[in-house]
Amino acid sequence: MPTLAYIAGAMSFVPAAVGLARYGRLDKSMRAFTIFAIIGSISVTVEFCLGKLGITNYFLADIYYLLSMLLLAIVYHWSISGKRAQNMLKGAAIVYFLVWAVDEICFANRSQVNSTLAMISSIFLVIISMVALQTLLRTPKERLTAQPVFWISTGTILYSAGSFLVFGLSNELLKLSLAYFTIAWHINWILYIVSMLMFTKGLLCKSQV
Amino acid sequence: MQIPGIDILFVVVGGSLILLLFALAYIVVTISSHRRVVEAQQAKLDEVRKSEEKYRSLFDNSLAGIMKFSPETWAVVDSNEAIRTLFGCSSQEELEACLENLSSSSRELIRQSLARDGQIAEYEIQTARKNGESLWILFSARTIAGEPFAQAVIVDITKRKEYEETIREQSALLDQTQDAIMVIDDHGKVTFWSAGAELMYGWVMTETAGRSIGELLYSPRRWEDFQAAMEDIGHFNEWHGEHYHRRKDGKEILVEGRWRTVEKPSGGERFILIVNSDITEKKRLESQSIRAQKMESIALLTGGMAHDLQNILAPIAMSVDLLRRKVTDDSGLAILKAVEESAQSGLELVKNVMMYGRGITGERVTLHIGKLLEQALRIVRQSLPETVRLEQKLNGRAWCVSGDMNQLKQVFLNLCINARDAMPSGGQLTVDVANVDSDESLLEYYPDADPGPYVVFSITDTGKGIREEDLDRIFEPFFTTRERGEGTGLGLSIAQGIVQSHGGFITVKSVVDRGTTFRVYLPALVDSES
Repeated sequence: MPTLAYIAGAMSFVPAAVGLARYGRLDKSMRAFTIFAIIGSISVTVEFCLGKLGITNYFLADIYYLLSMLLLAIVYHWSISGKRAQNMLKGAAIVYFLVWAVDEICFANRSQVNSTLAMISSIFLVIISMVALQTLLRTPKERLTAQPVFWISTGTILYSAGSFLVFGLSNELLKLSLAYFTIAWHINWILYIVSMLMFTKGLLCKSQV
Repeated sequence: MQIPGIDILFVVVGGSLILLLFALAYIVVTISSHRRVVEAQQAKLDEVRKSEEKYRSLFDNSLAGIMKFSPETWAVVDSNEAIRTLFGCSSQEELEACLENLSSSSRELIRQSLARDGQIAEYEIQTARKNGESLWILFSARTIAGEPFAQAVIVDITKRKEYEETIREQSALLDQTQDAIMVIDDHGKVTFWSAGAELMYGWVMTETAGRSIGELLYSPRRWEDFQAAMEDIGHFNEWHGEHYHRRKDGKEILVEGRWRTVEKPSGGERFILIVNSDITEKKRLESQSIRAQKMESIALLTGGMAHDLQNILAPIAMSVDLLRRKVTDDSGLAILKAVEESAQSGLELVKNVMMYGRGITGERVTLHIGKLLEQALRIVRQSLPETVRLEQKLNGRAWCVSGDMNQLKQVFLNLCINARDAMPSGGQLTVDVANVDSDESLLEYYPDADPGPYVVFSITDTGKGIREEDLDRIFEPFFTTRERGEGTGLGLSIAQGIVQSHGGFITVKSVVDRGTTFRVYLPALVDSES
């Protein structure tokens, strides 16, 4: 397993740790995001352990997709003030849940990466992040970079957009060559590290309570 | 040679980079767009801040006290220096404490007005400064849209209230005077009407404000008096004199007026200050006194003259008897008869004049007026023509009087004969007797009369009446409205003399062409049963 994968895995603990350390000074939405970060780090840990034990861990990714989508929708809902945007977030979350449920029930294949769900998740994450970012843009209370939602939404957009094809074609690459698969996943790990840094920055924004 | 799968890898890596670039581009565009929005926002904020500073400066430098407060809790959110100075407070907390001094009814009224109308204007409240000094404020407030607060403007009107109080006190003092004090403008319209004026004329301020004083107080026939007074005011800035004014009830009163033009201290406008005194009663008493003096002088003069005439006529009358013995022819006797009649007539006249001049005395006995009038009416009835109808309302329970029967009969007969003569073409003669207790209003007109019970007999005719200008003179000796030779003009003066010698008085009411009523008031002997 490449070193970058370990670094990426380790990076998942950073926002969780920072969120926990600053939990008392965070507002409601960022506390929800801390929970999201903690779930992310737990997911990475469990996936790593299962991988070491030779147990298939693809199903964990599917659960993580659902949790991350719902939690981020909640984070954004609580962070922004536009009623219309909030309704859009609610709608996106409901639609995603239905898609996820249909996919899990009808098309789930536990022996390989669920690349369809991964791509759909990426699209939904990009959409709700863009909604949050645009709403933030229309209600500029202060500098954009001083707002946690900016870092969370941009981090999510970069990671989801950049990893979109990696998720979508990883099964195809794995069929051809593990080397190709690893090369492609480097992109994911790099973007994951970047996004974790951006999430951390979001959690480090000035006291929100 | 192509490595299998390289195309997919190329697609994944390349595609991912492209998507990443798109994402980055989107983020960059978003950030720059946000910067523009923030800059625009900043510019707007700067503008708002400048505007706010401008209004803040107005707020802070206003001489009127301004505050933003909650009408429900009376918590002060913001206040300017002026309002704190007004209440003598140095902080907003102290101001809130001072506002608690406002009466609960005032606070409730303000709260209700703001809730109902959204505003309250110029509400005067008495409260206190922080140091306990009394403070009068003029409170105006308006609710702020979309906020649970109201903005109030408070002005200190303590000084104004003190002036108002002083004016009210002075006005109250003015109201104490019996004189009518009025103020009119250049056009004669009433602008002030004192309580004295209300009492004198019967109109209250609300009825007179803005009305022409000329139309109010002057009847059409007195209008020239008003115009003359206004002309004098125009030329000399003042007028003094006596005028007849009309009261609300239509009665005329004689007033002594002192009118003066006064210029307002602020300059420009002028007004006329009028002080009127009712001198009707004073004039009446004066005229009564003059008349009494006149009557006294006449009595003295005629008394002296009558005495001399009696001395002249008595020998003539006595000589007629002596001459009758010597004269035997018919023509001579006829002449002597004529001389005797003339002498006797002259002596009778002299006797009457002397009775009037010396004052009337006689024997006083207890008399029942009803019975006395019954006897006299027998004579009267015989002297009345058929065209005159006699109606008598003799009260059998009338009180008795102390008097001379013959004299009182003479009074009654005099009045009845006058009544008969006043109805040459017929009419009705009414004789009435009643018991009365003299009231103050009656005694006011007859100050010499004593208060107490009176027997009143009245003689009313439906004849031609007495003209108003003659009414004051009818009791004067030798005053008569009859043709020359038809009367001596002593009847009423002797009647009045007799009644006055009995401690009574006579009143007369007359309307031309409607008739006349004489009332003879005689002090009653209430204790004695008739």
